[in-house]
Amino acid sequence: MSSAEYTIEVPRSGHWVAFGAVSIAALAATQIFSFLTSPPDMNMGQLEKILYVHVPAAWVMFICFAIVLVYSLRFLWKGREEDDLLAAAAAEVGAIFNGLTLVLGMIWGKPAWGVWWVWDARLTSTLVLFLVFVGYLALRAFVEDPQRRGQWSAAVGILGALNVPIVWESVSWWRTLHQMPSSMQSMAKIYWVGMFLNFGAMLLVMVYFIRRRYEAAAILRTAEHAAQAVALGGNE
Amino acid sequence: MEASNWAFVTAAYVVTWALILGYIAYSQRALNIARAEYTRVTGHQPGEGDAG
Repeated sequence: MSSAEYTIEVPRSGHWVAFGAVSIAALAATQIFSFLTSPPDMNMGQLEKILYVHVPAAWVMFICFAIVLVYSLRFLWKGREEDDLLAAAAAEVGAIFNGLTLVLGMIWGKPAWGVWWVWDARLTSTLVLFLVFVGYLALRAFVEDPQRRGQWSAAVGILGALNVPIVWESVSWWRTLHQMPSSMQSMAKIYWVGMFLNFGAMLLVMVYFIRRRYEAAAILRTAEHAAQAVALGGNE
Repeated sequence: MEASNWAFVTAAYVVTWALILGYIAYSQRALNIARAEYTRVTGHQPGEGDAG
């Protein structure tokens, strides 16, 4: 596809820097709130405080991969490069939160289970999800042609996102070591209020991250189109 | 046991904030590089004189 067929709107930073600052402040505030308001759990003691970052990180990771699924399908359907760049931004941010979820799970697992890692169904499926999206990012780094890169990474992104329900249901289907998903029924109100507040703040951080990564990718891609047009003697 | 639990809780929050702040720095650097490249190629900064 020639550069003349593409016109990406150059994103502007606008209020996104302020949005980012508010997101980070909200995350700090909700974490402080959770620390101050939640008593030690009867079984876990102070370890319950790790859940205020571990569980929201996992939920945000799922949302990132849902965004990858939607925008990958949209790219394959419409061929708009913006959709590919947005899917890639969400995949990278999703991989970050996926890695964070795994590391926090290990930090929680050592004192709670006595081991850093066990090949439990939830842990293993989450690791597989992480590796799929690391592969997705590696694929994008190695394929130069934007159209082919978009199509291949969309295929990997869709397959990776289809793994999300397996990760979610893994604790029900295989019933290994990891406990069932946290819910309002399984937790005291004081804990899930803190968890949902932290989830909301982490969601804002996720939006900020994806927007910034998309902005950088779109500006760079527009510069590439402009350079290509100059090289071809075009007048874009 | 309680003291060691606090060590794990601290480690969890340190890792979280290191990752968040590190990723902000990384994405800002990527954005600066993209803007510099755009300016080099087009002769103006992103957002100036663009249709979008």
